[in-house]
Parts: sequence; structure tokens; C-alpha cells
Amino acid sequence: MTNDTNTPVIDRFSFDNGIVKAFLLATIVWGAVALLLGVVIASQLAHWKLNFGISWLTFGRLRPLHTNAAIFAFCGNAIFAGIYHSSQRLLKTRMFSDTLSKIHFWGWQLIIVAAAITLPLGMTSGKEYAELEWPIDILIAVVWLVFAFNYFATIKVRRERHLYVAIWFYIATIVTITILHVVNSLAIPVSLFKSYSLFAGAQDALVQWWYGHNAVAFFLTTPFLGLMYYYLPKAIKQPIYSYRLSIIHFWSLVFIYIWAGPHHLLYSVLPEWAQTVGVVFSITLLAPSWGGMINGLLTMRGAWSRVRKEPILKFFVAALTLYGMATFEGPLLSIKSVNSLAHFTDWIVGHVHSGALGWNGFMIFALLYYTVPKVWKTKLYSDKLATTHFWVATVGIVLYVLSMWASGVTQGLMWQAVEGGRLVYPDFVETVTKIIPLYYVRAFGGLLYFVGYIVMIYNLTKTIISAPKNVEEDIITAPRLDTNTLDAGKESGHRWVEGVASTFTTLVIVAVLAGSVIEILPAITAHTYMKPIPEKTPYSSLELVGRDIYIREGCYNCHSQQVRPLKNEVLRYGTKSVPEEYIYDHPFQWGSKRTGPDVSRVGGKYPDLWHYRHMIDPRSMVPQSIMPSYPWLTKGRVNFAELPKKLKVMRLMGVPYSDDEIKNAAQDARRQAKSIVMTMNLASPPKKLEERDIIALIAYLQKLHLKKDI
Amino acid sequence: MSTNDQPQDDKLLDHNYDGIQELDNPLPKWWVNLFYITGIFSVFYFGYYVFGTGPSLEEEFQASMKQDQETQQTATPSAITFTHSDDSITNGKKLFVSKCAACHKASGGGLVGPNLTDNYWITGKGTDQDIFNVISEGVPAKGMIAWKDLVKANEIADLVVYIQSIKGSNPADGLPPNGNLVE
Repeated sequence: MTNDTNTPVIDRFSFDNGIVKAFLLATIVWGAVALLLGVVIASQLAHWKLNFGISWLTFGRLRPLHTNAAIFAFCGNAIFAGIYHSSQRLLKTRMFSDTLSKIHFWGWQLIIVAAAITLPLGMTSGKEYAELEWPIDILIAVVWLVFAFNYFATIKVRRERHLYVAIWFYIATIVTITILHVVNSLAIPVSLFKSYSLFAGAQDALVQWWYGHNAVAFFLTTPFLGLMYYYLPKAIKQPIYSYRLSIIHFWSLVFIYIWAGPHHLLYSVLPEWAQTVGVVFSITLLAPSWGGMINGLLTMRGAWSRVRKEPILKFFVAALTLYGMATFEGPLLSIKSVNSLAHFTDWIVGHVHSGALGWNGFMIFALLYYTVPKVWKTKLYSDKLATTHFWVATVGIVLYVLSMWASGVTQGLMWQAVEGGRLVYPDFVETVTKIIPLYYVRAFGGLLYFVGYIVMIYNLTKTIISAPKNVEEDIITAPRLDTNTLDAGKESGHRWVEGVASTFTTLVIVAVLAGSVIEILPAITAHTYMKPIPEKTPYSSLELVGRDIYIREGCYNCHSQQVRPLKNEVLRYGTKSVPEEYIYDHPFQWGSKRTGPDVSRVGGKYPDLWHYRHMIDPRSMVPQSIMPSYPWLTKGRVNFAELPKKLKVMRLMGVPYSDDEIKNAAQDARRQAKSIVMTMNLASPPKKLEERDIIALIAYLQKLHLKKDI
Repeated sequence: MSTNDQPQDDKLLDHNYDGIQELDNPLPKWWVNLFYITGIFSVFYFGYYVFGTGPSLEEEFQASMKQDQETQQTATPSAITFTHSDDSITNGKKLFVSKCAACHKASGGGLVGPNLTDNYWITGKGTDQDIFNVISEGVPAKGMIAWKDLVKANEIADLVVYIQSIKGSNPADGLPPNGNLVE
């Protein structure tokens, strides 16, 4: 070998800014949709008439669309825009394949459109933040793997030897989301748009909240920290405060976050050791979370005067501060006594939105204001409008979060109030009426945030329109990375790992799998949580289809199905929950919010006729109720022919249906429906009432009970 | 974040990613201490609840229920007196409209639940005590819920007095008789 081969080859290339522009535009559009949906459903809670009695406009169907749009459409597209923009520059290379980038972009938009169509139609798996049905789940997995392949191939062809901290966070995002999505979406299809979760009851709950919590971790936290590590130093033009802090808080965050999921299930029938694991890891998570915040804020040292003038920096500071606040509130809410008050109330909704509106939203706005002028090679149209956006949105967040705190604490205390062995507020609806004014404040706060967003759209549109046309892409030159000439011997420890992407990625996988396996595997393989009890028989075929309607209408968005072992809950609802009562529940329907009361003991409490009238018009039975009316349930017809197949799928997963029960599923359902219609003895029943959805739903609700302690 | 520790005092590493540089500042002490404190707390918390003497959820629950039984004042139905006064009727009517009307209609003529204004009774014979028992304990088989935990005993008594006062009012849209005739 001659010395000549050691002279690095200088490559000439350009960045793919087209894909960045595409994802930026998608972010702007879907963000408007997600926020508008938020304003709509917030208004529906304040004023029930805004459900309009139309199935696809009701809260239960739109709330999942709102959460999916905010997380996967708005934040998702923003993450991709930032990752494609920053990674090409940090790795000194164009993306590995423009075609794969395009497949990723269009695939992701297709998924969003599919979600926007199927969720309002009630096609849902009934698992929070993972509602999309199995064909879309498969599409998500495929598109995500295309993205992952393209990304790791880009790393492979990089011209920067070491991976910068932003890339670490992107890698953690890509590998962990793959694992979470695949495991939590495991289901057996019944038809093209209906499947049943592979897991049941407590086990399904554990998997779901391992997923749900870590969607927050690896979709709303790690990628955004990555974005922060690129865009903040770029905007402020100062070095990152501490490289060592980056290393420590990255690895501790990735390792610890994955364990904390069970804090969503405190006081549930989940094994208690798993609940305690959730608590302690949530508390230990405080420092790793704050590590990111302080590394960002300290990077701004000496530049605070610029925050007054530059709107982008304002968004960064507010985002990091609200991130710090939300990640302090998280561990606080994980403490059992706090959780017993706050869980199921609006406090949690406020907590989530200080993170989503404050941290994710403001980070995205900073990203948009920074990147849009950069990739369109122009200046932002108006700094003044961006500042207006900042203040309007900030007031919006403050109103939102304060009203939800007040509402959550008020309602939580009202639920808990027990005097001389009696509930002080025995009527659930009393506790709802009390907080309605706060729902108006919240809706107004959300509206302000949306108005700020419209100002941003105007500002960015003006910016893009005024950008010079047909500008040629810059030609970048960089020395090719020659793997033969690596100074491998000179480096050790973390610096060495940063140069070897495969080792780095493997370590990330080990870090996230450790918690996942130790926490989840024992519970999902243990048969102690799957012991049948005589009090709880499998659902009859009509009850099963009623349960599907319960899931379709999104009842779980407002009603829980678990009575916690707390005095006030046992007084209000009845016997506390036991794990055995959920063993046939594919998927579980414990819920996470009580806008309405728990329903796990509602069976047998009221006559069938009460439910019939209550579904058509809740106000006829509970005058102050804010529940939407469900008149279409008397029109929709049960698909009796599909029942044997549904029972068969259930039996495949271990529900003990006999051959006869499967064979006669349709007749059995018709017989049970007829008897319910007979019992109600309506003066002038609608035609063919015994075939309608409402009867199946009543059958299911009447099955929800557990009379005595086990 | 005092303004006197300026970035230029810190050691700059030779990292450069698209112009982004990194300083080699040590971890802030308070942050490290926070990490230690939460970690140590967690070890003890876990040990206390999983291996130690920390109460299980079941034990906490039983303790709270027991404490409750000691302070609970159970109203014994036999001690209830029914005062057929205008005050009781007014109060009973108010309660009836808010709690009972959904199923029995504001007129008492019946809807989901039976007509309460006629002389037919499904459970009991329509005496003050019978009606009190039905309201208090409920008739689960018929879908009548037990109200004893939701409404105080003296208020149930007022309800009984009100219900007795509308007997024979014969509202126009009342349900047909149901149960046994009591003369």
C-alpha cells in the first residue's frame, strides 16, 4: 500500500431537502387537524349537544382520532422532518435512498388518512393510543421498517465518524418503537376491520401501558430530545453545555423509562410487585428527564438577552421548562397516594397536555420557524407574528393546564369524600356538574392555542410563497470516511461506541429489552392471573357482540371498568375488582378516565328499559348527564352470521366455548335478544328491535357485575 | 445560571457536527445528588413494599374499611318515624323529583319503574315501613336499586311520606296497575 490511499477522497453531494419540505408541510397541515379536533372534543365535554347525535362526530369516536392525529400525524411528521433534515447534516451524507424516503413519506400519510376514515367509523381495536385496526397496524410496521432500513443505511454511508447525541436519540426511537408497536398490536383478525387482542385482562393492560407509557417515552420524548440537541445549539450558535451529561442522561433515560409503564395501573389488579416497580422507576426517572432540560437550558448560558428578541428561542425555553414541569409532575403522580386522588380525573389530562402542548408543540414550532426558512432559502416572513403566536399559545396552555388541575382535584376530592361511612356526593353526576365551568375554560384555552397555530400557518405560508423559486441545491463537499484508516486504537469508552453504529444500536436494544422482559414476561406467562371463577362465565354470543359495540363507540374513553381497592370506590361502585373477572376480556377495557362513572358493576343495577331509554337519551334518566345520545343504536343491525367466527377466534385464544355454543351462536344471540325485548315490554317498539345494536349492548352491560367478594 | 460563568471559560471538546460543538462541563452537583436521592429512595421503597413490612393494597383497604365500621352510624329502620307533615311532603317531593322521577316519572305514574299512585304493590303491602324498606334495600330482581347508601334514612322517610301523599292522584299518563291490590 502506498501513502496515496491514505489521502481521503473528497465527495461532492447534495442534501435531499425535498423530503424535508414534504414532511414539514405535512406537519403543518395535520397539526391544524389535530388541534381542531382537540377544540371540538373539549367543547363537546363542556356542551354535550355538540355531539350532534351523529355517530362519527361523538366524543368516543373523535377522541381517539384527536390523540392519534396529535401524536402520530402532527408530532410524527415533525419528527421525520427534523430527523431527515438534521441527520443528513450530522452524518454529512444524503439519505441512503430517496425512493425509500418517499415510500416512508407517502406510506405515513396513507396511514393517517386511513386512521381519519376508520376511527370515526368506529373501527378500533379499543386500546388507547393504539386504536388502529390490524391492516393499518401492519402498514405502520412496514412503513416504519422502511424508514429504519433507510436510516441505518444512511448511517452506514456517513462521512462523519462519530454519531452525535441527536443521532443516539433517533436510534433509540427507531428501535424501541418497532418493538413496542409489534408486541402491543398482536391480535387475531375476525374480519378485515375487526380483531381481538391476543392478550386478555390484566395481561393485556400490562402490555398496553408498557406500550402507552413508552410511546410517550420513545415517540414524544427521545426524538424531541434529539431535535433539541440539533436545533437549539444551531439557533443559539453556542456549544452544548456538557457532553458528559448527554451521555449519562441518554443512557439512564433509555434504560429507566421502559420500566415505568405500570404507574398507569396503580391500585389495579396487576401484580403488586409490578406496580411498585412502576412507582420506583418513575421516581428515578426524574433526574434523567431533567438532564435533558438542564443541558438545553445551560447551553443558552450568556445568551438570555436574546430570548427577549428571538421568538424561536422563546419557544425553546418554554418547551424545555414545560418539559421539566411535566417530568416532575409525572413522578409525583406515580406516588400511590397522589395517584389515588388524581387517576381517572382531569389532572391527568392537564398533565398530558402540559407535555403535548408545551414540550412537543413548542419544540415543533421552534423547529418549523427555524427549518422552513432554512430549506426554502429565505427569511421568516414576520418575527412579530411568531412572537404573537408564542404569547397566545402560552396563555392557551396556562388556561388549559390550570383549569384541568382545578377540575381534577375538585372532582377527585368529591369522589373521595366519605363521612360516617357514606359518600358525601353519592350521585356521580353531581361531581360532573361542578366542573362544567372549568370545561369551558379548558375549551377556550385550547381555542387560543389553535388561534396561535393559525397565525403560524399564515406566517409560514407567507414565508414559503415569498421564497426564491428554482434555487439550486448547495453542493456539499466532505472527505469520504475510510474504514481502514480509523484511529480505532486511540479511542476508548463511550467515544469509541459513538464510532461504531452497530454496537451502539445493540446496546440500546439491550437497555430497552432489559426492563421490558423482566417486567412483562413473568406476568404474561403466569397462569395465576388466568384462573376462571364460577361467578364469571364467558360472554354469551349476544354479550360478546354488545362488547364489540361498546368498543366501537369508544365507551372506554369516558367509563372505566375497574373498582380500585379504596373505600370510596367500593361504596360508590361495589365489590373491588379481582384479576380473575377479566380473563375473557380481549382486549381489556379498564379505561383511564372517568368522565362518567365506572361501569364494571352496572349489570343488574337497572332494568333493561332504563338502559334502553338512557342510550337513546341519557337526559331522560339522569337530567344533568353530559353523555352523548346514541339514537343510531336502535337502527344498526347486529351481524348474527359473523358470530360463530367471533366465538371461534375467542376460543383460539383460550375462551372455553363449546362446539355447540359456536355452532348455535347466532340462534342463541337471537333468543337472548328476543327475551330482552320481551322484558322491556315497550308500548310501540321500533321494527325488528331484537336485531338492533342497542339490545346487544344492553345484554353486555347487564353482564358487567361481580356480586360478592372472591 | 449566573451570567458570570461564561461558556468561553469551559473546556471545548474537539467535536464538531455540522458546526455544533460540545463542552466538557462536569455534571451539575445538585443534579447528581437528585439522581442519588431518588435512587436510594426507590431502593428502600421497593424493599419496604415488596420484601418488607409495607402493607399490601388489600391490607390498606381492609384497614380503611375497619376504621370506617367503627365510626359508622347505621340507621336502624325500626327507629325511623314517619311524620306526615307538610314539611316532610315538601322535602320528599324535592327528593322525588331529583332521584326517583327518572324511573317513576315526576307524577309518580311510572315509566321504567311501576306506578306509585295506585293501590297495587309488587313488593310489600304499601305501608310506610314497606315502602321504606323497598327504597332503602332496593329490589334487585326488579331493577330497583338500594338507596340506603345514597340517601339518608330520615330523607327516605320524607320520600315515603310524599309517596303516600300522592296515592290516588291518578295521573293521566300513569302505567296500568302492577302487583297485588291492597285495599
